[in-house]
Amino acid sequence: MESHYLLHLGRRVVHLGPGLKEIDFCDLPKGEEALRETLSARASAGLVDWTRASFGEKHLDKVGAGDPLSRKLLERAHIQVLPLSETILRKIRERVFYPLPPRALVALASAELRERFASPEEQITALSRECDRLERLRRREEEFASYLALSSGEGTPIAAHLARSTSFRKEISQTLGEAEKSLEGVTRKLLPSLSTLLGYRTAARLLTEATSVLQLGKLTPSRIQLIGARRRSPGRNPRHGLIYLADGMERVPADRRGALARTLGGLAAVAIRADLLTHQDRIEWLLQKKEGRIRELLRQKDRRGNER
Amino acid sequence: MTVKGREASSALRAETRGGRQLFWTRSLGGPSPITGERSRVADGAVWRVLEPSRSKLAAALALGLKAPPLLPGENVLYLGAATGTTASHVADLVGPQGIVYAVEKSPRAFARLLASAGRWPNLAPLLRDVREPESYVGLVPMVGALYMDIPQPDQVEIALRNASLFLRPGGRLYLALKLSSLGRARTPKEHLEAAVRELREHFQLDAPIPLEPFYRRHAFIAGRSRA
Repeated sequence: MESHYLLHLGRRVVHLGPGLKEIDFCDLPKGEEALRETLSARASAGLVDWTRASFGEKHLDKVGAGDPLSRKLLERAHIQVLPLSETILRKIRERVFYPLPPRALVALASAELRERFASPEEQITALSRECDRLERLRRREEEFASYLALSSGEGTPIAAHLARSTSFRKEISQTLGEAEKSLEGVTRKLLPSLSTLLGYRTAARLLTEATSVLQLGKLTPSRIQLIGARRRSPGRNPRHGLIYLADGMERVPADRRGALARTLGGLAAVAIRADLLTHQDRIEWLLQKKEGRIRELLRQKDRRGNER
Repeated sequence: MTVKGREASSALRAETRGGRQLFWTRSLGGPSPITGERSRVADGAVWRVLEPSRSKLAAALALGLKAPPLLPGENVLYLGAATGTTASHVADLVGPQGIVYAVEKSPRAFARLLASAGRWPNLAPLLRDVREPESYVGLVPMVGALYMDIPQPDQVEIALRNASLFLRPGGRLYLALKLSSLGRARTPKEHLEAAVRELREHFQLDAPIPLEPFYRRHAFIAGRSRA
């Protein structure tokens, strides 16, 4: 078998056959069969490919990153995937390089950025931040309105301002409601189990804090339990993470929430893996575990030994 | 006034105002500022201010960066461009004949970089991770200078990897090093010494310039790659 090299260049895959002498551009076809045919045809014609392909197949996009799925696909197509050494890379580039003008790179970057921002994780991140921002804004407005209300008399300028502030708060609430609705839709689609387990807002916040789907998938239960924890009292580590905002937390007494946070951390890790990796429906099981734990915590006596 | 010993670059001017040193670059991207910096018209061109407090390159120039700064007509690989404040000035310095390849990973910062890149004819933005230089190997040619400002623990490693792929022999390196990002195990001074030792194997370095008082625990390293 002849050696082929596949090199990952951002959204494109570069295919180098034996010799590294000639260069040819082509689109990599979709599907295993077609891919194998194209590549073997090129190899038998003595062509060496520097294939700049734009394609929609996600799993091929990660060849260079050692993605197991694409590796399997390429192995089946009898293509050896080898990382290229820097010396070889440099050699290739010194010999052949087609510089794109800056304008073309701007166009490429715009397309890539649009794609990135259109991905569900970016949408969830943006919407989640927007919801949090609107909530903060509403809270601040409400707080300030309560001060204003104390000093507003009939017909004073403050009373007029208060009226405007009320309609502004209404507007914020409306915008927030719409943003939450959009967020719920996109979060429940990407992370169905996690959204059901913790609530879609908490699920979205977890993803936002983790920065990406990949990072979210890598989180351990203990990390999930603490992610987003910021406040650090002297001599103690932060302990109240995002998980304390999960649905169901309010049902257990304050001194049992740490215990529920640990349980939910573990269950959330299972939910994330179910959503992103196995795509199994574990929702029933997860909810059952969570409810069981909450009931158990409610049965426990408090620190003084009293029944709750 | 031109900067001493740098008459080669007519796109850069220095002035002292109220005891503070400022730099101006001749703008290629039109009159309006990109991050709210001041601009003025002189000699039939628009000049934008490059303040030491806002750009590590300007701080290094103010504190005596000896190496000639980026030359007209040069291709530059700029790692960690963020929103493009310094990158746009670097694009001014290399002029219309040179190209600045500005790499940034964060999509939000990149969105702002892209907006300014549209106005500079020679600023090429790349939404890529500098830790994976293979991902832009087909887009960036060999360059004459590498500028890097990435406050990460492995910044020296990133610089070396990118230099080995993109910097031509004899090309110049400009590295804004954030010493407190290199870990707490050693003091900033020890970190700087270790970084310089590592870089010396591949570069002829000038003496590192500490960027105090503009940036705490930062140093600017300039050098030339060994042929």
